[in-house]
Amino acid sequence: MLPPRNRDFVFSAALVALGVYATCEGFAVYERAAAPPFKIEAMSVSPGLFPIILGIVLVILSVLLLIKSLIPEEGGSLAPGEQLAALAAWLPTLFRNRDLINMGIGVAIMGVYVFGLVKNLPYWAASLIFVLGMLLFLRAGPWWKVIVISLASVGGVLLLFQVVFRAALP
Amino acid sequence: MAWQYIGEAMGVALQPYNLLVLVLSTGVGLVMGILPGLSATMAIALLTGITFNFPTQSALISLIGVYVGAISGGCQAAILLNIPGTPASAATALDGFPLARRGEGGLAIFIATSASCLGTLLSVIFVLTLTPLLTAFALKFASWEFFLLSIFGILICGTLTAQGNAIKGWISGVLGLLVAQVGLDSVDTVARFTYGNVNLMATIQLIPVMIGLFGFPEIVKAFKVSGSEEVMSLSKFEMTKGLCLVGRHILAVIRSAFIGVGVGIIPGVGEDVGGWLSYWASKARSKLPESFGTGNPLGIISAETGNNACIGGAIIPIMSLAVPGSAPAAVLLAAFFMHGYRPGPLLLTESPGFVYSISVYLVLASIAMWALALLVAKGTVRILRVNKKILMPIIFMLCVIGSYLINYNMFDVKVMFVFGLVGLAMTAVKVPAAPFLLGVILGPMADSNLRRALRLYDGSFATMFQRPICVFFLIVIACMILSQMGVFRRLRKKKAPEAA
Repeated sequence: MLPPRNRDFVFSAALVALGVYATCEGFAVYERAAAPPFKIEAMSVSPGLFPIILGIVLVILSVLLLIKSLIPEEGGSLAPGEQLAALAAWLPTLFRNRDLINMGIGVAIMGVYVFGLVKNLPYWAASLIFVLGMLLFLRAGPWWKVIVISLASVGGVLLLFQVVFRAALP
Repeated sequence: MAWQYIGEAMGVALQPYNLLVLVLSTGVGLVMGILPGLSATMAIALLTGITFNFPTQSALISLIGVYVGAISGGCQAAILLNIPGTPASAATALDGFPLARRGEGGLAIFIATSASCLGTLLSVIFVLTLTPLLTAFALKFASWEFFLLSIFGILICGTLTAQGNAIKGWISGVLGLLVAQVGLDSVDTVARFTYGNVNLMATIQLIPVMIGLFGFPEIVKAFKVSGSEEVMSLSKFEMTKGLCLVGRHILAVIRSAFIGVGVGIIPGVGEDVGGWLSYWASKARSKLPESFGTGNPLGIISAETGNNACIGGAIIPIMSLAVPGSAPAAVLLAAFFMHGYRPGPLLLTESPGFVYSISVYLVLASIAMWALALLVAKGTVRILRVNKKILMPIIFMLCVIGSYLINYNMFDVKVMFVFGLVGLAMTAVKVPAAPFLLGVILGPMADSNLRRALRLYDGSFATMFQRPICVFFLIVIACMILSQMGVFRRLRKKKAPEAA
């Protein structure tokens, strides 16, 4: 894993960018609110005020975290260049970490279920494919056990929600 | 009048249907609490979506039942597996597991469950007495006070949950506040961060965010290639010995209940802190502090009383200020809104029986929990041996349904997924999720009250400094920020050589 100090460096750098974006977007909201039909010209009552404040606070806090990640301490990288070098050295190791690969594929399967299967197939079919696929991927048991668990879990959920709670499922 | 409300609430709760709901939801909460990785927050968030179509009182009973069950159930995994079922039971594992290793797992579970029950019951006394007091105080609040209260809540939650790096906690809170800005603003209906998307204009729903932040990372963690843990076997409960032990340490129970309620009232600070502080207080007062961590029953009793007393404590600010005391309580707050209640200073006027109903449900849920936990304990070893790789895909299916049922909208499911990724990233960089959640909840309150106050006083911030409650909040906020920046530490260091 990437050392905590390097992680904080990357995280805070990304947050500085997010804070700047939020501030700019806050000003854009202020300009939209100042134009008709809203005509809210005073900044103090503009709907853009709070996002601007939050953006600025986020930038300040992120810069503080960034500075903290650069302060020397036993074992950590220091300068931004060294931080980036550590990050570059760490990236290839990502593809050798079995845990991370498993988690990545698991998230991808969950993404396919949410963004693809549920949208295009009946809920029972989408869920059956998802549970079956996920259990097979995780090698949760022999194939017959995986099929029985998938059918039982999807059937149980349908029974509980559609029959007992009478809720309309996706 | 109070007795009438209590009687009415008892009448509702003891109806056969509601009684069944209470027992089932407490049982579900217990099982979710027992299973490491399924938190109380996740349990309540899932159930909130599922109970959307329930009659209001039945929904409240089920939510209280699952809350009490999940917080209490965590101790069983802590004792038999040395892995707390929920973060709230982390302190319980310190003495619970050594006791189980000595062959007294049954006794450990009995005293932990009894202490949990007592903790919740004692916290109900505080719910009944402190809620009206805090509400009367909250009626003095105007826009500036509410704005500062929300900022104070996020700051203190960020400070206490960030484990030594308050900046990360505060960043998490600010990110939550930013997420709460998405949608049409509540004062002038100007679109913010919506990018022309109709779904975003309706603001981001709280429940999918919560399911994503708290449930998703736990599901994904189960995909890791890791070995299985050793589960201790269960011995006899030894009820007489257990009751004697709890009775002998009744002062520690009362002290831990006080600590738990106090911690619970602090916005966003959860049951885990209540457990740890109570454990630490008992250890600090003990004549044999070295016996803690080696299977001292007092450690188990203190930790479990403390974390369960937090339940009542966390509900007090919900009802009086609409500010949740912990992450599970935040979900409860959203559920109260969803079922037509308006927690806050006006709650006691608009729904005077609500506090009594919640108190009665808490009492019944804790009694049901005590009986069920001892029954379930026989099967706990089997529950703990369930393969998480089988369980988690099914849990994710429930996460999808829980998010969808809020508005019957697939967009909320996508929101859950996106915030799940956010939660995963936050876990990786050790940023606490609780301040983020509190930010999402308190964002609209902070924004609308800030602008209302500025509109009332012609854009001037000066009036904020003329109001005593505001000045109090400002001083506390300033002290909190300065202390985290190490200013006081540096001042003390400077003074020390001078004195020498």
